[in-house]
Amino acid sequence: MIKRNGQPRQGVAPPSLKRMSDAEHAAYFEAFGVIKSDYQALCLIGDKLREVEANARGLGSVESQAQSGPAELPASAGGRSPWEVCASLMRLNNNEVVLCKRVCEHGLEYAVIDEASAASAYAKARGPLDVLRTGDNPRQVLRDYLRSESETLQLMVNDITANVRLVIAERFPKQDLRRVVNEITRMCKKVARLGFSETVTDAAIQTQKHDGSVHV
Amino acid sequence: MSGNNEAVNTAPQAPAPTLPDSERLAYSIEEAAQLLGVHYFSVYRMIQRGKLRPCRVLRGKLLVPRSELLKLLKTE
Repeated sequence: MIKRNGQPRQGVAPPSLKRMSDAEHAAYFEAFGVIKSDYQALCLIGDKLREVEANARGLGSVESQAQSGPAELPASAGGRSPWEVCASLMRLNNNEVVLCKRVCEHGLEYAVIDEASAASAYAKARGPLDVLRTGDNPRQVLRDYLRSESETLQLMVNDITANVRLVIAERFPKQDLRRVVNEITRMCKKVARLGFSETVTDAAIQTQKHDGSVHV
Repeated sequence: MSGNNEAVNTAPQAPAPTLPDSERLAYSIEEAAQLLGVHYFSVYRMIQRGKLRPCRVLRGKLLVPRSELLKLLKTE
């Protein structure tokens, strides 16, 4: 069993590593040492997104939450009304992803927004708000957001495994260490998997209809 | 890419968004995040959404061209 930091659980050799040669062991620990912080970030982001996914059933309470104590984001361009924060979905250092709503001509509009620090170079050039998804149905907005984040996680996994291949090629030239690359790739894919599906979300919505619980 | 957690979100202190003078043609995702002052997952997201066009080098590893960062930081 491999722990989340990539090290074998004490006293229990991981089955995948047991079958590896000494060279593969060395390559595994060398490569994992390089991508360890990326792997941990992947775990963290994956966990947060799975939490959002699990809490989707609370979407019915979005409106009441916003009315009870809205935090306003800076007004968007074009003089439209400011977004009201309904729920914080994920915070990554200075970036926070929030579910918002505002009133527009045709009723309520919902959005998932990535808010950057106002002091950042990006915010100074582009504004602090990066609208990721919009729509009039909060469930659909959240569903689309999660699907998109799942793809972004996959991109991150691909980049991490590219880094693993690079490290192994540089430090262990002319050795066949594909099993090591495959093992680390498998670990990354596992923690990046959201398990998001129409069925899961629809089931969550059905649950929300019955219990009216507040989770977001 | 190691050390991403420690290195993220150091927003540049310059009054106007710009990049430091450099001979660099491209930056790693982590470096791009530092220069933009955002979390590096946001940089992956920008790539995924087509706001940043990366180049792939060295066994598929992503790099962000300096020209792409300059384009993104150009105020409109």
